[in-house]
Amino acid sequence: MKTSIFILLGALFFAGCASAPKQIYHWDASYASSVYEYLNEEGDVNEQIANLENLTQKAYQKGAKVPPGLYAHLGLLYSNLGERAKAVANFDKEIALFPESRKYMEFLKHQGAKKQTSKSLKGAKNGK
Amino acid sequence: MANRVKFLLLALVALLFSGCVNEPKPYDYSPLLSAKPRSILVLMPTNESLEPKGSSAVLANATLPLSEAGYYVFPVALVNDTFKFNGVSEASEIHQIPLHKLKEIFNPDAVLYINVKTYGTNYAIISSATTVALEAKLVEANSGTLLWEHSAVATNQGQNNGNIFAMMIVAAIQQIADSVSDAGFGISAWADNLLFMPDCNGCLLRGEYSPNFRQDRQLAK
Repeated sequence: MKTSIFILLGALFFAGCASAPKQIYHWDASYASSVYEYLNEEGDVNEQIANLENLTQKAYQKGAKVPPGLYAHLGLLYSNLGERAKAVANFDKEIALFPESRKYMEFLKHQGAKKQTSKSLKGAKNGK
Repeated sequence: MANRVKFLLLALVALLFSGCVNEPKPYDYSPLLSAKPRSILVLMPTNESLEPKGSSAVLANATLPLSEAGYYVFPVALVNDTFKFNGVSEASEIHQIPLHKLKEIFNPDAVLYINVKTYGTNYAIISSATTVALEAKLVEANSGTLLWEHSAVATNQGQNNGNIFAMMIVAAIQQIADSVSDAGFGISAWADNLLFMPDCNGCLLRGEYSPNFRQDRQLAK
């Protein structure tokens, strides 16, 4: 009885593989949880960097795509450690993979150079 | 035997017609179809629940299903820091920023406003359930036109969703859920997953990064 259920599940699994599209990007546990920790100002930045660098390596080995925003997020973590060159290199990788990010990445590179003196969003809270 | 077959056929026909009558009005996709957004700026969700981590859990888990749906999703933590560095840290304030300002800095095609209706655990006598309820509005970044709106509820009490796309990313979601200890984080991954899943009337249409762009089931009518 049990084996037949397993065979059935196995068959379902493979049927699923044949008809369902594959995931577009390579994901693992580290990305969303790193983002969550970061947003809550918890966790260790060096550990988050290690996890995400590992994710990009695995994606590379598998010939899979790195998800949107991942290189940019790595850039953010490096920037917080004061590693400006690595931050910029990761922002540039984000642009290379996803040209939609160009304007924002250029803004960040520029802002970093100016040490965040821009207050362009402040005082602009009224009205949509 | 022949009678039974006839009866079954009749029953099937009856089912078919009852299906037609009960079918909901088709969702109007014309604004989304004509705007064709490629990139989405997801803002920190507003939160009506009492759990302060509700917003960040929902935000952190939004990237996976939206990206797999074929959109470029701006890095959510980095975006949130940009607001913070510029003196805007409350979600409700972020949601008030005029579109032309967002366009100036991020240049997104569309902006996504999420509201967390419910986030947390209800303790009942027989069993307790953690529930995350979300509502989302996708707005065109130049004009402010509403492109799509949808809501989703996820709970850890016996839910079964037959959507193949949802099943596909269960593994990834499960890993994420396991790596973080609070239940709300895992359930919010499910809620985001349901909110952005494709192929139902009212579901988000896939974006251009998807190999199935414009092959959404609800368009094939």
